[in-house]
Amino acid sequence: MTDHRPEPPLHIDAAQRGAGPFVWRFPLYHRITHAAVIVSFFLLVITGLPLRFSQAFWAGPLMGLLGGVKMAGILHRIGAAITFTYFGAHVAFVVRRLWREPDPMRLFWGPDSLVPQPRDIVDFWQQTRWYFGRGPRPRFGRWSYMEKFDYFAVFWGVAIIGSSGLMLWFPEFFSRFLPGWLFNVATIVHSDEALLAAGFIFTIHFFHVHFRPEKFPLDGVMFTGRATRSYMEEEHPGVMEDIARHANEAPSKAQLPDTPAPPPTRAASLTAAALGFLALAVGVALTGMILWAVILY
Amino acid sequence: MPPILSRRGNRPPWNPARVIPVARLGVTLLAVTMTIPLAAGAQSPSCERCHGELELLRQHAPTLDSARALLVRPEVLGGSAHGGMACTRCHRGFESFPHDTTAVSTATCASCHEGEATAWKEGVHGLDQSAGCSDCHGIHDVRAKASLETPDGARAMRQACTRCHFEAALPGNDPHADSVSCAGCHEPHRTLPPQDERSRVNVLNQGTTCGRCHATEAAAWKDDVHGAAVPALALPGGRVPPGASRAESPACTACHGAHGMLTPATPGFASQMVQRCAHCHEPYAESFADSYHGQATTLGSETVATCHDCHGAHGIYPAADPRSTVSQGQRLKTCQHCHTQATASFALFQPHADHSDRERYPYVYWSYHLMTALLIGTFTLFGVHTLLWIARLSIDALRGTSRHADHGGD
Repeated sequence: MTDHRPEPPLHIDAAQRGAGPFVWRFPLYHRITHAAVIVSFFLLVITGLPLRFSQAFWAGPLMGLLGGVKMAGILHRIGAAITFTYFGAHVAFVVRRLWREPDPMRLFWGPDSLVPQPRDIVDFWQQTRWYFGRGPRPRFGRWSYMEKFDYFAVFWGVAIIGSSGLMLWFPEFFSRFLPGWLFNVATIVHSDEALLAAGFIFTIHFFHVHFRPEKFPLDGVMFTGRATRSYMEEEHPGVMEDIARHANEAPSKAQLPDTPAPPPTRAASLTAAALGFLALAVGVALTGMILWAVILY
Repeated sequence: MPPILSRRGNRPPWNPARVIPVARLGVTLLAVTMTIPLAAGAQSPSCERCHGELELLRQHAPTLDSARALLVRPEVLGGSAHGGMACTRCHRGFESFPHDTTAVSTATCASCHEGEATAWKEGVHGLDQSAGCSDCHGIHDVRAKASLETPDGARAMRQACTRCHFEAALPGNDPHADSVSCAGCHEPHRTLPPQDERSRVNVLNQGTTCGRCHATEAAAWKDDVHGAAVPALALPGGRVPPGASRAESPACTACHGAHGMLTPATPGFASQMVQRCAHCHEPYAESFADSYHGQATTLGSETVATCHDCHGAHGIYPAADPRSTVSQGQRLKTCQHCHTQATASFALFQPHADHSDRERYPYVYWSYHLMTALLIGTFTLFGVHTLLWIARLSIDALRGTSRHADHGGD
């Protein structure tokens, strides 16, 4: 088999670098969820930031662009509705998988699980040693500790920002059984946790996933769902070792091998890259606005 | 000396007794009266016959300008407050004809309008003689008081006053622009600067002056926290809170302004009123700006609550006073103006919570500090993680160490 790619790979997309065939990393459902996260997150951040930094020079013009405080409030609630929808859908998805899985524990533990495990502490320690030239880079398995953190950060963020946001959305209803001071707390928690989420995504997540030199300027694996073997060997070299290590265990506990994937079409790659760059650019611009406001006010 | 008194101070002193500037016409008058060829038999010709006809005056006056100076158009005089009066009521000594060439009018405005003249002498216009009767009232077109109280009269007076007080012109959107004349607020004859305690627009007297039209508001304000504070703040040696000055006494104009007042219909009314409250109530304005109400107001929302929506506008009392709209007894009702389904618990929300005040707002203090710690902690941990990553890769790049060589090490 010589070449089953009718079109050349998109080299600016880190997930398409190098030779070798493609494998699946994110099925369609996860990509749709991630797209919903992106859309709702930007909607929420763009409509919420001007309130948080209402004294900043850019707050008024941005609010005007959004159509005023009332319209921004409506858009913010649409963002919240999308968030609650994907969050609920994901919880349902996990429950369904637990139901169907012959050994549901594999979702909570083992090489394929997203739950942090002792191996992640070892990886973190090895990563730190590598920073200081005291050892090689850790050989991440299916999910690096950074990716696991990103996954659970959404649960934490939606729970905290979502619950406080609901309180502020329906204060009259919640005041029937919650004390008045909790609305003061909800205001602070909602605003600060949202700032943490926005700052984290636009700096740490963007760097770790897209901007670090090995991947710069973009990693489209979450948009096209697939990556080259060489990408997997660079980013997740431990997967093959995990397969070998767990070869003698029950299939339910073993590391699943990567599934071969057809290469993404040129149009899909370009669309993914364009939307990815748009999201990155908006995120970087918002980071600049946040920094400007935090430093000046 | 305040500018209002010195504005016209560089003009030569002007004798108010000569209300009508007769002197400068003396020579002209002489020339004209001596040359008019009237029939010898004429006993009492009407003044109008000569002084109402420019053509006739021109034939006898040396110049056109001097002829014009003697002209009194009948329609001007007829429409004035003095329209029905004989000319000689003011122009005494000119009863005979031909006129006595040495006559000087002995009549003044004060001859009839004694009270106004006395008051005028005590006001700024009389004290430095910066403006006399005719400067405001005109000469032959003098207006009746009743006609000054019409919208047309109010505009005419405003034009007369703003010839000198040009900075006091009312913008077109001022609620008083078309209805109230200058004299509606400022005493017209004993006009005094606002700093003078006898002035109608002094902080001590604004309640009465504005209250003539706005009685309900003035009555509510008189006993409230602002109205009660005015005498103490306004009097010399009065009890002045830190940061406040006598001029900032919270009378009507402190919040509403004077020329160019805002009304609730003015765009930006809410945020401008917040700034005016903030002028004295700085800490509360800051905590308001941190709240959703304040943030939305800053960004131009006109519907969210601002200061007066909760505290009231006239009739503001401290929260401990049961008359206060934010007192324990009334707070829920106040919240329910907008939040119709609000509960007693809802009304315990602290709109001015200060996250640095651990004693009064412990929950706010702790949630603010814990969230701040969480943010600083998270960004420090991952920031260092990221920066070390960049540093490692930069060092590797400089040394030319490839990633695979790195892996080869283990």
